[in-house]
Amino acid sequence: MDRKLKEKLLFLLFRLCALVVVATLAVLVGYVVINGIGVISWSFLTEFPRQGFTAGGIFPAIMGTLYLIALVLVIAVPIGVLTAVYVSEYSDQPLIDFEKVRPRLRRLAVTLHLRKNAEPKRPAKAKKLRKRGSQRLFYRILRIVITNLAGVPSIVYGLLGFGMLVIFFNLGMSLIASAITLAFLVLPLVITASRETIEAVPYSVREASLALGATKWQTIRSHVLPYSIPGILTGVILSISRAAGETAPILLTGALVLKQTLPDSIFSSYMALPYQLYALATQYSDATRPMQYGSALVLLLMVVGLNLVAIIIRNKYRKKYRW
Amino acid sequence: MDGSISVSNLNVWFDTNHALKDVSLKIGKNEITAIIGPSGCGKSTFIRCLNRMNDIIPKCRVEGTIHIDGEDINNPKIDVVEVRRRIGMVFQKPNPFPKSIHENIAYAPRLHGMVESSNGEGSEPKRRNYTKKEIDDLVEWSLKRAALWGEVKDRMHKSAYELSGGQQQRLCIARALAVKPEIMLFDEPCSALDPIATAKIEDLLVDLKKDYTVIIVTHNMQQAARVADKTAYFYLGELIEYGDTEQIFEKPQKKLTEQYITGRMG
Ligand SMILES: Nc1ncnc2c1ncn2[C@@H]1O[C@H](COP(=O)(O)OP(=O)(O)OP(=O)(O)O)[C@@H](O)[C@H]1O
Ligand SMILES: [Mg+2]
Repeated sequence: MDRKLKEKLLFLLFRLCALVVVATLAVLVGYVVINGIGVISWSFLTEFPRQGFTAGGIFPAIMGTLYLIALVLVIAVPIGVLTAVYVSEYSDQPLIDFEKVRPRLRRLAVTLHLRKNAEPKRPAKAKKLRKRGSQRLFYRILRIVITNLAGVPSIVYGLLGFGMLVIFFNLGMSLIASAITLAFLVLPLVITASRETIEAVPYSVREASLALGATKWQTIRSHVLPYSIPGILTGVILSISRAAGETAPILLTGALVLKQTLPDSIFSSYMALPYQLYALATQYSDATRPMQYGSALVLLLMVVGLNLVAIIIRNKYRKKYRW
Repeated sequence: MDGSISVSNLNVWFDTNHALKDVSLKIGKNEITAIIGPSGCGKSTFIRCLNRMNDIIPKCRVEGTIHIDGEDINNPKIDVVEVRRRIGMVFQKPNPFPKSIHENIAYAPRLHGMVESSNGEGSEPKRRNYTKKEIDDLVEWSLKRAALWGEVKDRMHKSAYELSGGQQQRLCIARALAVKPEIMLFDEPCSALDPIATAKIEDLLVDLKKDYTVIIVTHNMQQAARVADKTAYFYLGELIEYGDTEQIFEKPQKKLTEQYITGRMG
């Protein structure tokens, strides 16, 4: 075949592939918008559903999803960011420093009359190398755990939340049980995104701060973390989308199809957009179609809107700390 | 509080690379010492030992003793952070923070606070927070000393990354001065500077000598000859010769030193 023709054909193929991706999104969004736009009105957004979801609005589901997102972020972002700090800045030190704990245990053993004296039986020597090795192992294990957490199917998180939080810790079907479950689910996203930006902060910046007499934590707090905000926000954006859209974990841990009141505390059950959508689409008649499209569109707009806010903040910080 | 340095049998390894071999020397207070030698001979490694910046390189191992004001800074009981505060350092590559010029300089003083009164010898001086005015004054003072004030006084709140390489280097010098250390370490501070800025920095070095002990790494022989009281010549991790600058440049005792200074090597 002519080389030029081959080139053209290949290029066409690439173009088609890209087009399929764009078209999928366009059709999806277009379909939801066209069918949903007519449903949306002020009352649709602010009223409770009536007459078996054929009249009224989706106010409680909107509020439930917003509460959920807020709670998930409140739980997952601090834990995720601090874990990322630990993994990238401190994990050359072990999670538990046995060198420090052992003498205390020995003294405890003496007070409990389990031992005669607090001196170690064998003098500690030449342990340095082994300690280093085990630290590196621990660091690797931690990284593997984090990567694999991201691959666990969401229904498994849902079952974990149901078994552990709802039943064992007796949180019941509640916002908090769902939020903790979803927080587990998004933690790997937050950790990975944060770790990547934290590790991208140039070594020379840390060196500069340390050389001025700052401690490691001062360096992290005033340089490493602020410069990492854009990347952390990427994790937040991904988390918002997951938390807003996941259905399996919340239907097992606290979301109800219908609840005639807003949740009055983090311990009450709630309605949420994705679960309402799922329930209506699978269980009810055609009469609920408008509400289904409306819910889908609102969910879509909500995620897009929240992401936009995060992106704007991110760009602001990107501009502020530039190198 | 005088800033004399005495190093004995200092050895540094990076994994298996023996980067400094049995270096011993004494540096007096209020002196400028120039460290010269071919690239890779361990000059940066040597001065990084003096404020324990090699600690943070995991594969680096340091042995030997370094006494500063008679205090062993490699003693595990010593407060490393305090050592680094007392010994300022300007790095080979400019490394400003990606913040404004003002914030770059104000960062460390805000962290440490201002010395209010020294309670006599030995004891820790009392410190309190700077007021905004005091910080502004300190920033101005540091920038003036680093010969940068005139160029940046109208854009104190612009990002330090908008400065040229040489300006960034002087910003880093100002940033180190703002901490008011007792010893200043300069790693090739003039490598990115034009002759005018270089002259200003050399004036600064001589001026600093009144209050500080100054150590400067340089590839510029004339610069060493111009500003330094003492000169140390390193080659392949060893201290070959150390003595008065005049003597090193005019009557070097060692063949290697002479070869380097006359430009037949390095
Ligand atoms: N972070 C590091 N990791 C591994 N090896 C290093 C490191 N820093 C320095 N070395 C090694 O130590 C030796 C001395 O390096 P050093 O940076 O002190 O040289 P230098 O005299 O400052 O050279 P230059 O004039 O080019 O700056 C070199 O062999 C170098 O490879
Ligand atoms: Mg160097």
